[in-house]
Formats: sequence, C-alpha cells, structure tokens
Amino acid sequence: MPSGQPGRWGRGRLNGAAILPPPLVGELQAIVGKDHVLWRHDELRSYEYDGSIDVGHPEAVVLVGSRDEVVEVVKLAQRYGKPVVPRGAGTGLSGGAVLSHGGIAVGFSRLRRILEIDEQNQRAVCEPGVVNLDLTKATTPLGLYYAPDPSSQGACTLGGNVAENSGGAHCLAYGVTTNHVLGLELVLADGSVVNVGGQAVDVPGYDLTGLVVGSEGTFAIVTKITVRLMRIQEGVRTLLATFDTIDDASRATSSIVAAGIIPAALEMMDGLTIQALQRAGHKGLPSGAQAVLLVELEGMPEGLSESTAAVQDILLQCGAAEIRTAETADERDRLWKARKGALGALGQIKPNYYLQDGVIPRTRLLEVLRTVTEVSERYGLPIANVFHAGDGNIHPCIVFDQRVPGETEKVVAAGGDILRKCVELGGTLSGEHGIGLEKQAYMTWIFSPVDIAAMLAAKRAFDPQGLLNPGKIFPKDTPAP
Amino acid sequence: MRPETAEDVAAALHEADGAGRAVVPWGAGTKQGFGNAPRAYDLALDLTGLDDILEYEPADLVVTAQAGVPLAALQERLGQAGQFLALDPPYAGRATLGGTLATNTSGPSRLLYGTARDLVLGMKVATPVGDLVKSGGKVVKNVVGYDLNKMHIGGLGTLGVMVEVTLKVHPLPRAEATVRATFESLAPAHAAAGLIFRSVLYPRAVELVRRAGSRDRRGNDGLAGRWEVLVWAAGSPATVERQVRDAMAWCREGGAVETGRLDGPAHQEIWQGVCDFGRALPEDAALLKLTTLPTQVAALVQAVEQTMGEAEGDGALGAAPAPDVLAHAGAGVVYATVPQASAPLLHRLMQVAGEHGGTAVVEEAPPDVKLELDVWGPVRDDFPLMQALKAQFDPRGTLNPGRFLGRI
Ligand SMILES: Cc1cc2nc3c(=O)[nH]c(=O)nc-3n(C[C@H](O)[C@H](O)[C@H](O)COP(=O)(O)OP(=O)(O)OC[C@H]3O[C@@H](n4cnc5c(N)ncnc54)[C@H](O)[C@@H]3O)c2cc1C
Repeated sequence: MPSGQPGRWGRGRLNGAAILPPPLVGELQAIVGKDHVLWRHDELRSYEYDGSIDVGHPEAVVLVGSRDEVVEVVKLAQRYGKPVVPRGAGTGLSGGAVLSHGGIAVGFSRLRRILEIDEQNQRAVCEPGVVNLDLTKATTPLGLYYAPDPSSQGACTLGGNVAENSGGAHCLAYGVTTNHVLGLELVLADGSVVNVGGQAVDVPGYDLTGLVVGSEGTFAIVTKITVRLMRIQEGVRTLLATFDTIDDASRATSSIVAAGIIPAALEMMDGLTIQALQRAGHKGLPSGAQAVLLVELEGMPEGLSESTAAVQDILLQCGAAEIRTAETADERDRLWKARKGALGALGQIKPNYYLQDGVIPRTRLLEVLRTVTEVSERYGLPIANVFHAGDGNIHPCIVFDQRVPGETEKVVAAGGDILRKCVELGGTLSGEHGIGLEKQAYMTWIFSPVDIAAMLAAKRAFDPQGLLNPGKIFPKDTPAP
Repeated sequence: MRPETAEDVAAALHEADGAGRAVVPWGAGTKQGFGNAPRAYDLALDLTGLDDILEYEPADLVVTAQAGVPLAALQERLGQAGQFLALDPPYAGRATLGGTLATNTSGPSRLLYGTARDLVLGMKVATPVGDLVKSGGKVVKNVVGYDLNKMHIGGLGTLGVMVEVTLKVHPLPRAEATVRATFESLAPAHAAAGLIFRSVLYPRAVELVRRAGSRDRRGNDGLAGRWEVLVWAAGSPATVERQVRDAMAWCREGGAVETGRLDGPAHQEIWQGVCDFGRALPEDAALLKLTTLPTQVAALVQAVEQTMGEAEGDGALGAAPAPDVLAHAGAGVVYATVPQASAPLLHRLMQVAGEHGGTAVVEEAPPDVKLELDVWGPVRDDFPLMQALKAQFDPRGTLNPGRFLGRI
C-alpha cells in the first residue's frame, strides 16, 4: 500500500558538506569501511523503494563484504535499537526491502560470489547477492541449471529469492525456491551464526531451512545458500496458441492440467497485453487475438512428439485460432520475447502499472478472469493479464497514471477486489511476490487471529526483539512479537 | 483416546496440557518405534478416527484429507482418478497420512517427486493450548505468511498434532518398468547408478541394493559382495523404452555381469520390497538411516561395513553377518541393517557417518539398545533455535516429550 509519509531524511541532508556523520554511521564505517556506508540523503534515495509502490527511509545503507561484517552490523543495530532490513536487488514487489520503520538496510551487492559448484552432486553454494540468472549462466556449460526463474531473474538475487520463496514461469513442473534450497547460513538477530539444513538431505531435527524460506527477511539474514541444480532437459518444444476469447484460453489451460500433462511452463497473456506488445513494435502476434497461451514442454524427444500432439489437440478442441511451434532455440526465444517484454510494453498504454499477484485453484481460472474484467470496468482502469496460468497464479496488471490525483488509491482498491475474489474461490493473496507491506492488511482474509498468533510465535523463536524487518507481513495493529 | 473430530483432538490436547499429562499422538502405530523412548507417556491420542478425505478435485491435482486416513485408502481414491500421492514410504499399506508426514518418511520415488516437504500445500494443526491452527492453503503456489507446514513435517508431533492436510498430487505415469543390473562390487554399481540419476533420463528412482541376508540363507558365498542397481523407469511408453534402453546399456558398459528388465507384477513387487526395506527385522537387529552427498554413498557404505566388520572382532567380513544395504542413490540416503545391534556399535556407526559429512539416525532398534542411545545423533548449532520453537509451541513439553532430536 502506498504510504506516502513525509521523508525523515536523517542528518546527512545538508549535502553532507561540513556535517559529521552521526555516531551510528561512524560505527558502521568502522565495521565495513567508509566507502561501504551510504548515509547522505542523495545516496539513500535509491534505497527508499523496491519494485512496489511503497516508500521508506533508511538511516544508513551498509554494503557488507562478509558474514562477519553482517554479525557486527547486527550487534551494533541491537545496541542502537535500530531495525535491520536485508536488501537484495530491490526488485521485490511487496515492499519487503522497504524500510517502513527506518533503521539500517544491509545490502548484499558485494557478496555475489558463487562459492562452489559441485557438478557431480548437482549443488551450488552461493553468497546471497548472487544474481539468479548468473548461477544458471555459470552452470549451463556443465549441462546444469538453477530451476526457479522469476521474470526478474536478470536482476534479482538469491537472497531475495529465498526470502520471498520466489517462483517463475518454469516452476509449474519444477517447483519454487523452497523446493531447491538445501541449506542456509544465517545470521540471527542476536548476532549468532547458525547453519540450517546442509549439503545432505533429511538433516535430523525441524526443517528450519523450510521455515526460513519465504520468511521475507524477518527471521534471519541469509549469508550463504546451498541450492540444488537440475540437469538441463534434452529436448524442448514451445507452442504459442492464440484464442479469440480469454474464456477459451482459460478452458484450454485447465484441460491441459486435467489431462495429466504437466508442461514445464504454461503462461497466458490477454488481449490488452497483446495490443501493448504490438504498439511497442513487437511483431508476429496476430491482431485481434484476445489471449495467447505459451506452452513449453520439456523432456526426452521420444516423449515430446506425443505430448506436443496431445497439447495441440487440447488447444484446438478449446478453440485455438492458431498454433505456432518452435523447435530451434531461436524460434523459441522469439516466442518467449513477447512474454518477457509484456510488462515493459504496458507503458504504451499508461505510464504506471501495478502488478497484482493472486492464486486460485486452476479450475477456477475462468471465473477469476471474469472478475478481473468486471473490476476493470467498474473502476474504469485497464487491466492486462500476463501470468503463470498453469499454477493458477494470476498477475492482473493495472495500468494507470500516478500523476492523476486519486488514481493510485483506486488502483489499490481494484487490486483488493480481485484478491478478495481469489480468496472466495478458495485461493490466496500471493503466489510468489509476498505480503510485505503491500498486503499486510489482507492477511486476516486468510488467517484467523489464532493462525497469525502461531506465525508470530515462530517469529519470536527467531527474533524475539523484532529487530529484523519489522512492520511487515502482519496487519499494522498486530502487537510486536 | 480416539477423537472423531479435529475439535475433539484440540480439546483433548488442551485438557492433557492443563493436567500436565504427556501425549503421544498415534496413527496406525507403524512408526511408534521411531525416535527415542518418550520421557513420559500418559495418553495415547489415537488419530485413526479422523479418516475422511475432505476435498478432492482431480482437475486441480490437489487433495485435502484428515491426518488419520490410511495412506492406502488415499492412494486408492486418487488412483480411481488416475492420480497418486508421490510418497512411497515403508508400511504404506497400513501407515496413516499424519504418521507418514510427522516422521517424514519417504521412499525411492523421492528422486523424481521429492519428499513430503515438496508435496504438502497446507495443514491444520491442533495445539496444546487447544487451538486449531491453519497454515499454507489449498493452491499449488502460496507465499502468504510463514510456511509453518515445514515445522510439522518430520517434527514427530512435537510442535502440534496435524489433523488435516492438503497435498499436491500427480498424474499416474502411463508406463513403468524396472531395469535390474548386477555388479561384482560396489564401486562400479555406484558409478553406473550415478551416470543414470545425473542424466537426462530423469528416472523415477535409482537404487543400490545389496542383500546379504538372502546370501546367508542360501549359503551361497558366490554372491557375496554383489550389488544391484535398480532403475525405476516411468513416463510415457516411449520415454520408458528410452530410459530402459539407456540404463541397461550404461550398466553393461559399466561392468554389470547381468542386466534384465522387469515389467508388470515383477516390477511392482521389486519396488514394494524396496519401499519396505529393512522393516521386518530380526529382533536383535537395527535399521540405520544415513545421509550423505550422492558421490559419497559408496565410501560411506564401505566405512559402515568396515566398522561392523571390526566389531565382529576378526575383521573377516565374509564370515560376519554383513548388513543389508539399500541406497536411494540419487538422494544420498542409505539404509543399512545392523544385525546383532549393540548401543556401542550403533554409536560408533553414527560417528562414522558424521566423519563422512553425513548424518545418521537409528530408525529401528531393540528397545533395550535404544534406551542406551540417542537415536538422532548429536545436535548441531541450530539446536537452540529448535528449542526456542519448542518453547513457543509446546512450552510444557506435552507432546511426545523426549522423543525427538536432542530429547526435545
Ligand atoms: C519485472 C519484475 C518481474 C518479476 N517477476 C517475478 C516472478 O516471475 N516471480 C517471482 O517470484 N517474483 C518476481 N518478481 C519479484 C522479485 O523479483 C522477487 O521477489 C525477488 O526474489 C526479489 O529479489 P531481490 O534481490 O530484488 O530482493 P529485494 O527486493 O531486495 O528483497 C526482497 C525481500 O528479501 C529480503 N532479503 C533480501 N536479501 C536477503 C538476505 N540475504 N537475507 C534475508 N532476507 C533477504 C528483503 O528483506 C525483502 O524482504 C518480479 C519483479 C519485477 C520487478
């Protein structure tokens, strides 16, 4: 939710000319070195946001260079009673890395080494600042890759992925971040260093790794990540099907899943998105199409022709107007280009977009998309749909102009209406972007006070004083843990 | 006590907690041997009364069931729609869903499908204060709130009692077959298995097996030290053929002295045996579960055998009752039977596993031996966090006290 609070810029505000840094900054500099603490107003500006519409104001940003520095920073923050907020690339879409309660942002841009790639055991050990795609690039020559592939993978970090339990287009078949993380090194709020999980599986005891993944930076600071790598499949077939109605495309999606075919990816784009792509100069999409399905099948060639044919049959039965298939990497890239360029292209319609993230059971796709259309009409706001249809993870994207007074509030209300429908249909508030600040007010739609109390009990076990990333996930009036 | 509803479970827990009575949640009882003996045991909470399948929409590939439902009943229902729950733990014929999840038992199929942590989408848990707590949800993607499901999977009912679970299910593979290859020794078998599970074949399971027991009974020393690689091919008919063809060829090239293919009942039977490995033990034997990196499996097995051989005194492994060994090779999970188990020997074996960068848990052992051991092995630097969780969720130590890691 947009907070729009006035700035609390701290003492660096007068361009820093003759002003001595506040004592906190001095002590931080002593830990990480002068060059790695940002504290002047102009330096902090780009750390006030993430990819969402919330704003917050760090008092300092420390760019840590080692785990031990993280430990020292946390201890210092303890002493000053200042919140600590870990920050990856700041691409988060729910305000997770926004300092709504001030304090110190811990940035990981210096901790971006891939420490180990174990080809035989198909594992990698990484620092938290490693960019998602860099890991796959580093392992591709070995025939391996890191499966969770958020659309932001060229920028977002593994630390952010772990915190948000991020997903991506290919998570339909291979699972999300939590299914690929084997172990973590953590710095806890009291400055202690703890290893959870490990290189081997089934480590005795509670699955603390599983608990920390998706905790949005509120349980611990992740300083090392052990992930599983997967073998790159032998063959890939990509199909792009166009439909005259979004209902047909929804039906096709549900039918593919119901037929027991689990594609690697099954993505949908609607008519508005297609128009935007065309306006942005993207060629090769049929005008007038109201929906496009992108279906990717992976596996051994022996099975691919059969499953491709089966998918084609379903698509045609559900009224596909046209189906294109790609067999070479080039053709495939061309088909994916539209999907990947979709969000950017929406700027052709209005300057801003607000990307929602909701989930419904896959059989309810048709209903939820009808609600999206209704909401769009009711609020007079164009809404484009570009999403992971195969898992029922919708991404209605409300396009608007932030400069028009009152529009932002309308956009947030419209997003809320869509989410309410998701919940009514048996779904939930977020499939991959997290709750953060954005959806904390809606938590009570899903969870009772008793459920929330249990989550807070887990938080107390990790961070009894509430030092790490405070004010997130739970409704604003929730008492501190 | 055998409650019939989730609310009754919560009420019973609340009452026991208030009265300071220790509760042992009870499914079908197939794994009550799991873990340390409880420190106190006042009330068995029989969950088999909660045996409904609550919601099942095949087209969503999601099912919600009560925790006391027998796994077999659940599989049967899913099977009618051409689907299944991709968990193949031991005792699948009798075990309940809740017991399977609380012990986090898994089977060979974990190579392709993962374990319970990859399949559970949501749950409802009864707590010692009498609440019913919901976590997760009923959809396949969900990042709303903390993933408290993970605390209870493998938590041995020490943080709450699962009463309802929502799971992801899979379509049944259209075709299946087994490749069985026999090797003269462990090293080439291990190498061939590795080639297969690391490959583009993506088989459902790859096992390394050595059954010493059958050799003893037949008195056939010629088979001593022989290892089998079992490959579970699954998928479409065409991909199964490919998996079988390549796996066989690689085993032969890797030095297999015999390779064969099993279909139909023979295929099913062999995997049933794999799932139930080591479960019908002689009274004086133990079952050890070891984990390590997949590349370390052979070294770990050798170290275990050597330690057992030394324990026999003369070091002549051929004469000593060698262990039966089954490894989920791709996952790096090794099960070894320990004939004539003693606490010092098991203790030593657990140390050996640690020295190989792995972990060891004594899954089954004679009761008197178990009393002298901590079956979970040593705690690690994350144990204070686990204690903190226990203090939050079961402050009076009502649930399975003393049974889990670190006698939590
Ligand atoms: C164009 C675009 C497309 C996107 N597509 C997808 C998508 O397909 N799927 C998807 O899931 N998400 C998507 N996202 C959202 C976002 O990229 C993910 O949430 C990503 O994981 C955030 O990573 P980050 O490094 O930017 O983290 P940040 O935004 O910096 O932080 C996110 C959260 O992680 C915490 N955090 C960061 N590092 C650590 C650490 N080391 N230890 C503990 N906590 C830490 C922060 O405190 C914060 O709560 C998209 C975003 C954009 C802008």
